[in-house]
Amino acid sequence: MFCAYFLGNLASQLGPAVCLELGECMDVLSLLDELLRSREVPLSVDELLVTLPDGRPIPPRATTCDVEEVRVLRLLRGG
Amino acid sequence: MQVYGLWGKVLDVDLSTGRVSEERIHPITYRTFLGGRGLATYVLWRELGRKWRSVDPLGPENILAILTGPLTGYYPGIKLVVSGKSPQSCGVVGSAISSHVAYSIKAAGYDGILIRGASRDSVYVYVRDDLVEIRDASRLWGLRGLEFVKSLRRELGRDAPSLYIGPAGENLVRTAAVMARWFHAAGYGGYGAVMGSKKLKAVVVEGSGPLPPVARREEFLKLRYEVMDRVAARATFRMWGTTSGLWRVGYETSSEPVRNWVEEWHSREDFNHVVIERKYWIKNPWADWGCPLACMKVSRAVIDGATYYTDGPDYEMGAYLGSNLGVFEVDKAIALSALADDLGLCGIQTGNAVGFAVELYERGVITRDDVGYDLRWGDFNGLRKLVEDVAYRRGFGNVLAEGTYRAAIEVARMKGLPPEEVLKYAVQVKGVGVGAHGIRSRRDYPQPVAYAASVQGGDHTSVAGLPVNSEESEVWSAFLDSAVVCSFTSVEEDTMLKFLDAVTGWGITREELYGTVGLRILSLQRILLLLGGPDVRWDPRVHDDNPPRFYEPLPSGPYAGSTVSRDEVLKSVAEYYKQLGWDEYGVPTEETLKKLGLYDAVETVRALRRELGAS
Ligand code: SF4
Repeated sequence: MFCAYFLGNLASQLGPAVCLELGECMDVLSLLDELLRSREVPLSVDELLVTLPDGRPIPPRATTCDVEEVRVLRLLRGG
Repeated sequence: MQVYGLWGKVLDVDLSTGRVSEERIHPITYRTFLGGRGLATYVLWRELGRKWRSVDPLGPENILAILTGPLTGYYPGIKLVVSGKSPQSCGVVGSAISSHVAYSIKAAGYDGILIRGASRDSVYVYVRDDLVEIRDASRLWGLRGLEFVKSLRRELGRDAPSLYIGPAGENLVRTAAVMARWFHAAGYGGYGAVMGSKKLKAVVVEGSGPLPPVARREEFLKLRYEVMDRVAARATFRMWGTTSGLWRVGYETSSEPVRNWVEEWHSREDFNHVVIERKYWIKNPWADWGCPLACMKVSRAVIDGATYYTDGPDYEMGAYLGSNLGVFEVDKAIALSALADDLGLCGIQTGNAVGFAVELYERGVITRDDVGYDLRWGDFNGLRKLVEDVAYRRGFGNVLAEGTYRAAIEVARMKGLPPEEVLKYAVQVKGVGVGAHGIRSRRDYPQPVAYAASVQGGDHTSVAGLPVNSEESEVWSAFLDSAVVCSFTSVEEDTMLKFLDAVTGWGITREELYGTVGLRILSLQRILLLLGGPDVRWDPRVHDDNPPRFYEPLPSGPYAGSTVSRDEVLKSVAEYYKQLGWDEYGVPTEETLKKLGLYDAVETVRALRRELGAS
């Protein structure tokens, strides 16, 4: 099971969490990208902060087999 | 006690007496308040806190703080913070600006500059390493931005990093910005007017020395390269900067101000970063010192034979001086942005006040007799004239030069109306026009509580948010503005704190950041905001709220009908205060102050609570 927990207004669009049962290891960022597209959230992953639940960054090229839970929030605030 | 990443001293310049000195800042003060916004708040509290209400932000007593932070010069990207008692909110605003001056101050051997008093004649402060001079600025006074930059270059024989004001600051316009490089602005707070009140045209700094040593060099270098790589990979932002917001925030997320926020959506396809890039950009990418993100893009537009240059326009300028004024032709939005830059006006506050005026005109609250000419949505000539009139305080421009909140009160007085009848069109919070990111569609980043509970009012770069122990919280903004980094290059808290530790060796943890260090800065800012004065005071029961317009349902776009309820906002405000350890009025409790070591603020909050009738 892989779960993404959303903070702030992302939670009001996607719900506080999305958990998926996956049959294979998937790239975490690609998976989130697909999720955003399917829910019509007009953001790309480079506009998100994706971390482990304790705030540490996810390892580069992390897959859903490397991490089970991520915390997702908007990166760019302002501008 | 060794301090790393900082020199442990600031320059102290008194323009009344001409005295220049160095002030030592104790390492513990840095560890407690970090730098930038935090240090400014501490200095203002220490020196002016006891008499805060009587301090005129535009009087000689106010202190203009130009401060770097421990990450300035080390972390990719460059910013400094301009602060003081704000002529807009009468609290403290940390107004961040990208400028080479930030690096140069540190390379000159200082962490910042405090400017006190007021000069009789126009001057500029010149710093070249150990040399500090207060120089005559009579040849520069009155010049607009581009002319100033060229004249300074002629005077010094080279380009020197500078912060300066345009005519708006000289004329004490409360929405005047402190400018850099002819289009960067520290707009929030109105510190351009504070410089003007001190007869200070510019601060020029040419530092040539090294940066202070860091605590752990190898670790710092490793982190720096790691962050550089990550930041450089932000493709959308690198390609189009914030200009990309002009299409996305308006069309996709429905949170862009359109005609004084009556709407937050538009479908004008030419207001699109790809079109702007193709037709108007003459330089892309362009970066501030040490920045791999390079978000700046220079645009040029020609209207009636006049050529206008500006950055982007970046999202905020394009939105506020474009769609918010009913201007949907890119060249005209570029021209109005360039004009605001040149006059030294904050584009956000100017677009906010002018949009407010156009709505009043269209509704017949004010007329041609008040303004002297027609004022209509999208009418470039009328809008251009009004922007100029604001900067020179001419005619109705003089009313708007006080900022939207004070202008609303004045219009109500002029027209014999109850203030609420005019304030309902003023999209501001605590004297600060709201940044160009709305809350009604809930598709953008500010939460419904964002502006109502912010210690910097309508500042979109410092919004309140839940939970308070995350990057959604205003504590995080206070951290970024106090470590002093560009928020566009920031990454998650864990890496930022490791970076801070590698530079300073302070070992600040996440718990400490949210539980004490960041909270301490925010709490002091909140106390000073509630003290306010001399001309405005904020009652949390009335003013910890959104502008009335934000409770009207969105009339158009994919989220038409969407809104936030006042009930929901007030509940979120209460929850936010509770999580911060503040009472029901948003006054930090005595227990919280003691936890933060702010014992000297206990008496002040007791008095504030008594005034509010709290038990
Ligand atoms: S991201 Fe943009 S504003 Fe920030 S330092 Fe880099 S170039 Fe300047």
